[in-house]
Amino acid sequence: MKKYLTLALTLAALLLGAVWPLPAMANPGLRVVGAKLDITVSPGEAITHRMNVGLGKDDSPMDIGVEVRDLGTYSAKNFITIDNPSFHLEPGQSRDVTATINIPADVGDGGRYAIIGIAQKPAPGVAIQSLVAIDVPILLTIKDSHLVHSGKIKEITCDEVVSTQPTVISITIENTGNHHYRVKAELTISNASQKVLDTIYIPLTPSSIKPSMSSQLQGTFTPKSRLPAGVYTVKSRVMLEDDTLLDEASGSFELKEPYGPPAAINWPVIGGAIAAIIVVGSLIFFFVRRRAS
Amino acid sequence: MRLLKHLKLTVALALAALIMWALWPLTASANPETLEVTAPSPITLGSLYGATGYATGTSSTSGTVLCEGYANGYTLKINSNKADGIMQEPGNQKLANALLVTADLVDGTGASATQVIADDVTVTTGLQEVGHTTASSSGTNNIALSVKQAKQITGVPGATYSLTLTFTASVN
Repeated sequence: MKKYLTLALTLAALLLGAVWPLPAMANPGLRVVGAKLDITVSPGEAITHRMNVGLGKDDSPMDIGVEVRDLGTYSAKNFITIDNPSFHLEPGQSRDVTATINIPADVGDGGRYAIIGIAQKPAPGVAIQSLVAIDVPILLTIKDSHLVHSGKIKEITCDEVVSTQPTVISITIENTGNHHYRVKAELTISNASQKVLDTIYIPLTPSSIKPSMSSQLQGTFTPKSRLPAGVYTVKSRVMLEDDTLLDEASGSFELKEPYGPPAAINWPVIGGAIAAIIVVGSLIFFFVRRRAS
Repeated sequence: MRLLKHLKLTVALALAALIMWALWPLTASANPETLEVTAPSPITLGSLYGATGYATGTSSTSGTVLCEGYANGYTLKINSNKADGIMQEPGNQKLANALLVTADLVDGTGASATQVIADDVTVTTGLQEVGHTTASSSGTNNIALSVKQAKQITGVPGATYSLTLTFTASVN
Protein backbone atom coordinates (compact mmCIF):
# COMPACT_ATOMS: atom_id res chain seq x y z
CA MET A 1 0.00 0.00 0.00
CA LYS A 2 2.86 2.31 0.87
CA LYS A 3 4.27 1.66 -2.57
CA TYR A 4 1.00 2.69 -4.29
CA LEU A 5 0.77 5.84 -2.25
CA THR A 6 4.33 6.85 -3.09
CA LEU A 7 3.69 6.21 -6.78
CA ALA A 8 0.38 8.10 -6.64
CA LEU A 9 1.94 11.08 -4.89
CA THR A 10 4.78 11.17 -7.40
CA LEU A 11 2.35 11.01 -10.32
CA ALA A 12 0.10 13.67 -8.79
CA ALA A 13 3.06 15.97 -8.16
CA LEU A 14 4.29 15.54 -11.73
CA LEU A 15 0.85 16.10 -13.26
CA LEU A 16 0.05 19.06 -11.02
CA GLY A 17 3.36 20.65 -11.86
CA ALA A 18 2.64 20.27 -15.55
CA VAL A 19 -0.95 21.48 -15.67
CA TRP A 20 -1.38 23.78 -12.64
CA PRO A 21 -2.85 27.11 -13.77
CA LEU A 22 -0.43 30.00 -13.92
CA PRO A 23 -0.49 32.10 -10.77
CA ALA A 24 -2.38 35.35 -10.81
CA MET A 25 -0.36 38.27 -12.07
CA ALA A 26 1.74 40.09 -9.52
CA ASN A 27 0.55 43.31 -11.04
CA PRO A 28 -2.99 42.78 -12.27
CA GLY A 29 -3.57 46.38 -13.35
CA LEU A 30 -7.05 47.73 -14.00
CA ARG A 31 -9.74 45.16 -13.34
CA VAL A 32 -13.43 45.37 -14.15
CA VAL A 33 -16.00 42.83 -13.04
CA GLY A 34 -19.14 43.11 -15.18
CA ALA A 35 -17.29 44.19 -18.33
CA LYS A 36 -20.20 43.56 -20.72
CA LEU A 37 -23.96 43.94 -20.76
CA ASP A 38 -25.92 42.16 -23.48
CA ILE A 39 -29.61 41.95 -22.60
CA THR A 40 -33.15 42.22 -23.90
CA VAL A 41 -35.08 45.18 -22.52
CA SER A 42 -38.64 46.46 -22.74
CA PRO A 43 -39.67 49.99 -23.76
CA GLY A 44 -40.13 52.16 -20.67
CA GLU A 45 -38.05 49.84 -18.48
CA ALA A 46 -35.31 51.09 -16.13
CA ILE A 47 -32.38 48.80 -15.36
CA THR A 48 -29.04 49.10 -13.60
CA HIS A 49 -25.68 47.57 -14.43
CA ARG A 50 -23.09 47.42 -11.67
CA MET A 51 -19.39 47.29 -12.51
CA ASN A 52 -16.66 46.81 -9.94
CA VAL A 53 -13.47 48.65 -10.85
CA GLY A 54 -10.34 47.72 -8.95
CA LEU A 55 -6.56 47.69 -8.76
CA GLY A 56 -4.11 45.06 -7.62
CA LYS A 57 -2.28 45.31 -4.30
CA ASP A 58 1.03 46.00 -6.03
CA ASP A 59 -0.31 48.59 -8.46
CA SER A 60 0.33 52.28 -8.44
CA PRO A 61 -2.49 54.62 -7.40
CA MET A 62 -4.62 55.68 -10.32
CA ASP A 63 -7.15 58.36 -11.22
CA ILE A 64 -10.04 56.84 -13.14
CA GLY A 65 -12.52 58.49 -15.48
CA VAL A 66 -15.79 56.90 -16.66
CA GLU A 67 -17.63 58.15 -19.72
CA VAL A 68 -20.42 56.93 -21.96
CA ARG A 69 -19.79 56.93 -25.71
CA ASP A 70 -21.83 56.21 -28.84
CA LEU A 71 -21.46 52.90 -30.58
CA GLY A 72 -22.92 53.46 -34.04
CA THR A 73 -26.04 55.38 -35.00
CA TYR A 74 -28.43 53.24 -32.93
CA SER A 75 -27.11 54.85 -29.79
CA ALA A 76 -28.07 54.14 -26.21
CA LYS A 77 -25.76 56.87 -24.92
CA ASN A 78 -28.56 59.20 -23.88
CA PHE A 79 -30.30 56.43 -21.94
CA ILE A 80 -27.34 55.91 -19.60
CA THR A 81 -26.25 57.82 -16.51
CA ILE A 82 -23.17 56.98 -14.43
CA ASP A 83 -23.20 57.49 -10.67
CA ASN A 84 -19.44 57.68 -10.25
CA PRO A 85 -17.79 59.30 -13.28
CA SER A 86 -14.46 60.17 -11.69
CA PHE A 87 -12.60 58.69 -8.73
CA HIS A 88 -9.23 57.76 -7.33
CA LEU A 89 -8.08 54.24 -6.54
CA GLU A 90 -5.33 53.24 -4.16
CA PRO A 91 -3.52 49.88 -4.54
CA GLY A 92 -5.82 46.98 -3.65
CA GLN A 93 -8.90 49.21 -3.66
CA SER A 94 -12.06 48.77 -5.72
CA ARG A 95 -15.17 50.83 -6.28
CA ASP A 96 -18.58 50.11 -7.69
CA VAL A 97 -19.74 52.08 -10.68
CA THR A 98 -23.44 51.81 -11.46
CA ALA A 99 -24.95 52.62 -14.83
CA THR A 100 -28.66 53.39 -14.75
CA ILE A 101 -30.29 52.74 -18.10
CA ASN A 102 -33.72 54.26 -18.78
CA ILE A 103 -35.28 52.85 -21.93
CA PRO A 104 -37.69 55.38 -23.47
CA ALA A 105 -41.23 54.17 -24.05
CA ASP A 106 -40.96 55.13 -27.73
CA VAL A 107 -37.49 53.60 -28.22
CA GLY A 108 -38.39 51.90 -31.50
CA ASP A 109 -37.18 48.65 -33.06
CA GLY A 110 -33.92 46.73 -33.07
CA GLY A 111 -30.93 47.21 -30.81
CA ARG A 112 -29.41 50.16 -28.99
CA TYR A 113 -25.69 50.39 -28.26
CA ALA A 114 -23.15 52.29 -26.22
CA ILE A 115 -19.72 51.97 -24.68
CA ILE A 116 -18.95 52.74 -21.05
CA GLY A 117 -15.28 53.68 -21.16
CA ILE A 118 -13.36 53.18 -17.91
CA ALA A 119 -9.90 54.66 -18.32
CA GLN A 120 -6.84 55.68 -16.39
CA LYS A 121 -6.36 59.44 -16.56
CA PRO A 122 -3.01 60.63 -17.95
CA ALA A 123 -0.59 62.22 -15.54
CA PRO A 124 0.04 65.86 -16.42
CA GLY A 125 3.50 66.76 -17.70
CA VAL A 126 4.70 63.21 -18.37
CA ALA A 127 6.23 62.93 -21.85
CA ILE A 128 5.90 59.20 -22.46
CA GLN A 129 3.27 57.14 -20.74
CA SER A 130 1.23 54.00 -21.14
CA LEU A 131 -2.36 54.03 -19.93
CA VAL A 132 -4.92 51.30 -19.42
CA ALA A 133 -8.59 51.32 -20.24
CA ILE A 134 -11.48 48.89 -20.38
CA ASP A 135 -14.44 49.50 -22.68
CA VAL A 136 -17.67 47.97 -21.42
CA PRO A 137 -19.98 47.25 -24.38
CA ILE A 138 -23.68 47.82 -23.73
CA LEU A 139 -25.89 45.88 -26.15
CA LEU A 140 -29.62 46.30 -25.67
CA THR A 141 -32.14 44.37 -27.74
CA ILE A 142 -35.62 45.86 -27.68
CA LYS A 143 -38.08 43.16 -26.72
CA ASP A 144 -40.80 42.20 -29.22
CA SER A 145 -39.49 44.71 -31.76
CA HIS A 146 -38.76 44.09 -35.44
CA LEU A 147 -35.11 42.98 -35.69
CA VAL A 148 -33.54 43.55 -39.10
CA HIS A 149 -30.40 41.57 -39.90
CA SER A 150 -29.14 42.90 -43.20
CA GLY A 151 -25.70 43.76 -44.56
CA LYS A 152 -23.89 45.01 -47.60
CA ILE A 153 -20.45 44.16 -48.91
CA LYS A 154 -18.86 47.55 -49.47
CA GLU A 155 -15.50 46.48 -50.80
CA ILE A 156 -13.45 43.48 -51.91
CA THR A 157 -9.71 44.02 -52.12
CA CYS A 158 -6.78 41.77 -52.87
CA ASP A 159 -3.20 42.33 -51.89
CA GLU A 160 -0.71 42.40 -54.74
CA VAL A 161 -0.25 38.85 -55.94
CA VAL A 162 3.38 37.82 -55.68
CA SER A 163 4.45 34.48 -57.09
CA THR A 164 4.95 31.73 -54.47
CA GLN A 165 3.39 33.96 -51.77
CA PRO A 166 -0.13 33.63 -50.28
CA THR A 167 -2.50 36.50 -51.11
CA VAL A 168 -4.77 38.17 -48.57
CA ILE A 169 -8.30 38.93 -49.79
CA SER A 170 -10.30 41.39 -47.68
CA ILE A 171 -14.05 42.01 -47.61
CA THR A 172 -15.64 44.97 -45.87
CA ILE A 173 -19.19 44.32 -44.71
CA GLU A 174 -21.51 46.98 -43.32
CA ASN A 175 -24.39 46.20 -40.99
CA THR A 176 -27.35 47.93 -42.70
CA GLY A 177 -29.92 46.48 -40.31
CA ASN A 178 -30.99 47.56 -36.85
CA HIS A 179 -29.51 44.75 -34.75
CA HIS A 180 -26.03 43.35 -34.17
CA TYR A 181 -24.79 40.02 -35.50
CA ARG A 182 -21.66 37.95 -36.14
CA VAL A 183 -20.79 36.88 -39.65
CA LYS A 184 -18.79 34.30 -41.56
CA ALA A 185 -17.85 34.30 -45.23
CA GLU A 186 -17.00 32.16 -48.21
CA LEU A 187 -14.66 33.24 -51.03
CA THR A 188 -14.65 31.42 -54.35
CA ILE A 189 -11.75 32.03 -56.73
CA SER A 190 -12.34 31.35 -60.43
CA ASN A 191 -10.32 31.79 -63.59
CA ALA A 192 -11.42 33.48 -66.85
CA SER A 193 -13.25 30.34 -68.00
CA GLN A 194 -15.25 30.24 -64.73
CA LYS A 195 -13.38 27.20 -63.42
CA VAL A 196 -13.36 27.27 -59.63
CA LEU A 197 -9.77 27.14 -58.36
CA ASP A 198 -10.37 27.32 -54.64
CA THR A 199 -12.97 28.08 -51.95
CA ILE A 200 -11.85 29.82 -48.78
CA TYR A 201 -13.96 29.80 -45.62
CA ILE A 202 -13.66 32.65 -43.13
CA PRO A 203 -14.88 31.57 -39.69
CA LEU A 204 -17.41 33.41 -37.53
CA THR A 205 -16.12 36.80 -36.37
CA PRO A 206 -15.18 36.95 -32.67
CA SER A 207 -17.12 40.15 -32.11
CA SER A 208 -20.47 41.25 -33.47
CA ILE A 209 -20.98 44.05 -35.99
CA LYS A 210 -23.25 46.77 -34.67
CA PRO A 211 -25.78 48.57 -36.92
CA SER A 212 -24.22 51.20 -39.23
CA MET A 213 -20.75 49.85 -38.47
CA SER A 214 -18.44 47.92 -40.78
CA SER A 215 -16.07 45.06 -40.25
CA GLN A 216 -13.25 43.73 -42.40
CA LEU A 217 -12.96 39.98 -42.95
CA GLN A 218 -9.81 38.45 -44.36
CA GLY A 219 -9.04 35.20 -46.10
CA THR A 220 -5.77 33.88 -47.50
CA PHE A 221 -5.57 32.45 -51.00
CA THR A 222 -2.67 30.11 -51.71
CA PRO A 223 -2.91 28.68 -55.25
CA LYS A 224 -2.28 24.96 -55.30
CA SER A 225 -1.00 24.90 -58.87
CA ARG A 226 0.70 27.18 -61.37
CA LEU A 227 -1.60 29.97 -62.64
CA PRO A 228 -1.14 31.74 -65.96
CA ALA A 229 -1.22 35.54 -66.14
CA GLY A 230 -4.74 36.96 -66.41
CA VAL A 231 -7.72 38.25 -64.48
CA TYR A 232 -9.22 36.06 -61.73
CA THR A 233 -12.63 36.48 -60.12
CA VAL A 234 -13.33 36.46 -56.38
CA LYS A 235 -16.94 35.77 -55.49
CA SER A 236 -17.72 36.44 -51.86
CA ARG A 237 -20.72 35.44 -49.80
CA VAL A 238 -21.22 36.78 -46.28
CA MET A 239 -23.56 34.88 -44.00
CA LEU A 240 -25.00 34.97 -40.51
CA GLU A 241 -24.13 32.25 -38.00
CA ASP A 242 -27.15 30.18 -39.13
CA ASP A 243 -26.01 30.36 -42.81
CA THR A 244 -28.58 33.02 -43.78
CA LEU A 245 -27.08 34.93 -46.70
CA LEU A 246 -26.49 38.62 -45.96
CA ASP A 247 -24.91 39.70 -49.23
CA GLU A 248 -22.79 38.47 -52.10
CA ALA A 249 -20.48 40.38 -54.41
CA SER A 250 -17.67 39.81 -56.86
CA GLY A 251 -14.25 41.32 -57.23
CA SER A 252 -11.15 40.45 -59.20
CA PHE A 253 -7.39 40.50 -59.17
CA GLU A 254 -4.92 40.49 -62.00
CA LEU A 255 -1.87 38.33 -62.36
CA LYS A 256 0.58 40.20 -64.49
CA GLU A 257 3.00 37.30 -64.48
CA PRO A 258 2.41 33.55 -64.12
CA TYR A 259 2.06 32.46 -60.51
CA GLY A 260 4.09 29.58 -59.14
CA PRO A 261 2.68 27.88 -56.02
CA PRO A 262 4.77 27.83 -52.83
CA ALA A 263 7.37 25.07 -52.83
CA ALA A 264 5.86 21.93 -51.35
CA ILE A 265 7.54 20.26 -48.37
CA ASN A 266 9.55 17.33 -49.66
CA TRP A 267 8.41 14.72 -47.14
CA PRO A 268 10.26 11.75 -48.74
CA VAL A 269 13.59 13.58 -48.41
CA ILE A 270 12.86 14.73 -44.82
CA GLY A 271 11.65 11.23 -43.85
CA GLY A 272 14.69 9.65 -45.46
CA ALA A 273 17.04 11.98 -43.57
CA ILE A 274 15.34 11.21 -40.24
CA ALA A 275 15.51 7.46 -40.95
CA ALA A 276 19.20 7.74 -41.86
CA ILE A 277 19.94 9.59 -38.59
CA ILE A 278 18.12 6.89 -36.57
CA VAL A 279 19.97 4.07 -38.38
CA VAL A 280 23.40 5.72 -37.99
CA GLY A 281 22.66 6.55 -34.33
CA SER A 282 21.60 2.96 -33.63
CA LEU A 283 24.71 1.56 -35.34
CA ILE A 284 26.98 3.83 -33.28
CA PHE A 285 25.12 2.86 -30.09
CA PHE A 286 25.42 -0.89 -30.74
CA PHE A 287 29.06 -0.55 -31.84
CA VAL A 288 30.01 1.33 -28.64
CA ARG A 289 28.03 -1.16 -26.52
CA ARG A 290 29.76 -4.21 -28.06
CA ARG A 291 33.20 -2.67 -27.58
CA ALA A 292 32.44 -1.82 -23.97
CA SER A 293 31.37 -5.42 -23.22
CA MET B 1 1.89 -11.11 -12.71
CA ARG B 2 1.18 -8.71 -15.58
CA LEU B 3 -2.40 -8.27 -14.31
CA LEU B 4 -1.06 -7.32 -10.88
CA LYS B 5 1.21 -4.72 -12.42
CA HIS B 6 -1.75 -3.18 -14.30
CA LEU B 7 -3.78 -3.19 -11.09
CA LYS B 8 -1.01 -1.40 -9.22
CA LEU B 9 -0.80 1.26 -11.94
CA THR B 10 -4.57 1.71 -12.01
CA VAL B 11 -4.71 2.16 -8.23
CA ALA B 12 -1.82 4.63 -8.37
CA LEU B 13 -3.48 6.64 -11.15
CA ALA B 14 -6.80 6.69 -9.31
CA LEU B 15 -5.09 7.97 -6.17
CA ALA B 16 -3.22 10.59 -8.22
CA ALA B 17 -6.50 11.78 -9.76
CA LEU B 18 -8.08 11.98 -6.30
CA ILE B 19 -5.18 14.05 -4.93
CA MET B 20 -5.31 16.39 -7.94
CA TRP B 21 -9.07 16.82 -7.59
CA ALA B 22 -8.65 17.70 -3.92
CA LEU B 23 -5.83 20.18 -4.50
CA TRP B 24 -7.00 21.85 -7.72
CA PRO B 25 -7.79 25.54 -7.16
CA LEU B 26 -11.32 26.77 -7.79
CA THR B 27 -10.23 29.63 -10.04
CA ALA B 28 -13.14 29.51 -12.45
CA SER B 29 -15.83 30.13 -9.86
CA ALA B 30 -13.75 32.45 -7.69
CA ASN B 31 -13.59 35.28 -10.18
CA PRO B 32 -16.39 35.18 -12.75
CA GLU B 33 -16.69 37.59 -15.64
CA THR B 34 -13.61 39.71 -15.10
CA LEU B 35 -11.45 41.60 -17.54
CA GLU B 36 -8.06 42.90 -16.46
CA VAL B 37 -5.53 44.87 -18.43
CA THR B 38 -2.04 45.90 -17.48
CA ALA B 39 -0.23 48.36 -19.69
CA PRO B 40 3.45 47.96 -20.26
CA SER B 41 5.29 50.12 -17.79
CA PRO B 42 6.37 53.50 -19.16
CA ILE B 43 8.75 53.12 -22.05
CA THR B 44 12.34 54.13 -21.52
CA LEU B 45 13.70 56.18 -24.31
CA GLY B 46 16.43 58.03 -22.53
CA SER B 47 18.72 57.77 -25.50
CA LEU B 48 16.46 60.04 -27.48
CA TYR B 49 17.13 63.01 -25.29
CA GLY B 50 20.20 65.03 -26.09
CA ALA B 51 21.32 62.62 -28.77
CA THR B 52 23.21 63.82 -31.77
CA GLY B 53 23.56 62.30 -35.20
CA TYR B 54 21.63 59.34 -36.48
CA ALA B 55 21.34 56.22 -34.43
CA THR B 56 19.02 53.35 -33.72
CA GLY B 57 17.70 52.38 -30.32
CA THR B 58 15.08 49.94 -29.12
CA SER B 59 13.20 49.82 -25.85
CA SER B 60 10.95 46.92 -24.89
CA THR B 61 8.45 46.34 -22.15
CA SER B 62 5.46 44.10 -21.63
CA GLY B 63 2.01 43.98 -20.09
CA THR B 64 -0.83 41.48 -19.84
CA VAL B 65 -4.53 41.08 -20.40
CA LEU B 66 -6.54 38.52 -18.47
CA CYS B 67 -10.09 37.60 -19.46
CA GLU B 68 -12.16 35.28 -17.32
CA GLY B 69 -15.70 34.02 -17.67
CA TYR B 70 -16.63 35.55 -21.03
CA ALA B 71 -17.40 33.03 -23.76
CA ASN B 72 -16.14 35.09 -26.70
CA GLY B 73 -12.86 36.39 -25.33
CA TYR B 74 -11.76 39.98 -25.84
CA THR B 75 -10.14 42.43 -28.21
CA LEU B 76 -7.19 44.62 -27.38
CA LYS B 77 -6.72 47.94 -29.09
CA ILE B 78 -3.95 50.45 -28.77
CA ASN B 79 -4.41 54.12 -29.28
CA SER B 80 -1.31 56.21 -29.80
CA ASN B 81 -1.60 59.94 -29.73
CA LYS B 82 0.10 63.10 -28.64
CA ALA B 83 3.16 62.06 -30.60
CA ASP B 84 4.31 65.53 -31.28
CA GLY B 85 6.77 68.24 -30.41
CA ILE B 86 9.80 66.60 -31.95
CA MET B 87 10.42 69.24 -34.59
CA GLN B 88 10.96 72.31 -32.54
CA GLU B 89 13.69 73.95 -34.52
CA PRO B 90 12.40 75.96 -37.48
CA GLY B 91 13.60 74.58 -40.77
CA ASN B 92 14.46 71.14 -39.42
CA GLN B 93 11.62 69.29 -41.01
CA LYS B 94 12.80 65.73 -41.13
CA LEU B 95 15.19 65.17 -38.30
CA ALA B 96 13.31 62.45 -36.54
CA ASN B 97 10.61 60.79 -38.49
CA ALA B 98 10.72 57.13 -37.72
CA LEU B 99 9.67 56.14 -34.27
CA LEU B 100 8.32 52.63 -34.58
CA VAL B 101 6.06 51.34 -31.88
CA THR B 102 5.11 47.72 -32.28
CA ALA B 103 2.97 45.50 -30.13
CA ASP B 104 3.15 41.75 -30.12
CA LEU B 105 0.14 40.00 -28.70
CA VAL B 106 0.78 36.38 -27.92
CA ASP B 107 -1.97 34.20 -26.63
CA GLY B 108 -1.44 30.73 -25.28
CA THR B 109 -4.68 29.67 -26.93
CA GLY B 110 -3.89 30.74 -30.44
CA ALA B 111 -4.14 34.42 -31.31
CA SER B 112 -0.97 36.18 -32.24
CA ALA B 113 -0.44 39.48 -33.95
CA THR B 114 2.37 41.90 -34.40
CA GLN B 115 1.53 45.34 -35.58
CA VAL B 116 3.21 48.64 -36.03
CA ILE B 117 0.98 51.00 -34.09
CA ALA B 118 2.79 54.25 -34.67
CA ASP B 119 5.32 54.75 -37.40
CA ASP B 120 5.86 58.45 -37.40
CA VAL B 121 6.10 60.68 -34.37
CA THR B 122 4.78 63.60 -36.34
CA VAL B 123 1.50 61.85 -37.09
CA THR B 124 -1.25 61.30 -34.62
CA THR B 125 -2.54 57.81 -35.13
CA GLY B 126 -5.93 56.45 -34.26
CA LEU B 127 -7.12 53.35 -32.57
CA GLN B 128 -5.50 50.19 -33.88
CA GLU B 129 -6.71 46.70 -33.19
CA VAL B 130 -3.81 44.57 -32.15
CA GLY B 131 -5.46 41.24 -31.74
CA HIS B 132 -8.12 39.27 -30.06
CA THR B 133 -8.61 35.98 -28.40
CA THR B 134 -11.55 33.64 -28.44
CA ALA B 135 -10.64 31.84 -25.26
CA SER B 136 -13.71 29.99 -24.11
CA SER B 137 -13.50 30.74 -20.42
CA SER B 138 -10.25 32.51 -19.69
CA GLY B 139 -7.16 33.69 -21.43
CA THR B 140 -4.03 35.65 -20.76
CA ASN B 141 -2.22 37.67 -23.38
CA ASN B 142 1.23 39.06 -23.05
CA ILE B 143 1.77 42.33 -24.84
CA ALA B 144 5.36 42.92 -25.79
CA LEU B 145 5.81 46.53 -26.70
CA SER B 146 8.91 47.77 -28.37
CA VAL B 147 9.79 51.24 -29.44
CA LYS B 148 12.45 51.58 -32.04
CA GLN B 149 13.95 54.87 -32.95
CA ALA B 150 15.44 54.76 -36.40
CA LYS B 151 16.64 58.33 -36.65
CA GLN B 152 17.50 60.60 -33.81
CA ILE B 153 17.24 64.26 -33.39
CA THR B 154 20.39 66.07 -34.35
CA GLY B 155 21.17 68.03 -31.27
CA VAL B 156 18.23 70.40 -31.25
CA PRO B 157 18.52 72.22 -27.92
CA GLY B 158 15.52 71.65 -25.72
CA ALA B 159 13.77 69.36 -28.17
CA THR B 160 11.25 67.09 -26.50
CA TYR B 161 8.33 65.05 -27.59
CA SER B 162 5.45 63.22 -26.00
CA LEU B 163 3.82 59.90 -26.68
CA THR B 164 0.81 58.44 -24.93
CA LEU B 165 -0.24 54.88 -25.59
CA THR B 166 -3.58 53.68 -24.30
CA PHE B 167 -4.22 49.94 -24.04
CA THR B 168 -7.94 49.33 -24.22
CA ALA B 169 -9.41 45.88 -23.73
CA SER B 170 -13.05 45.05 -24.32
CA VAL B 171 -15.08 41.87 -24.15
CA ASN B 172 -16.20 40.62 -27.58
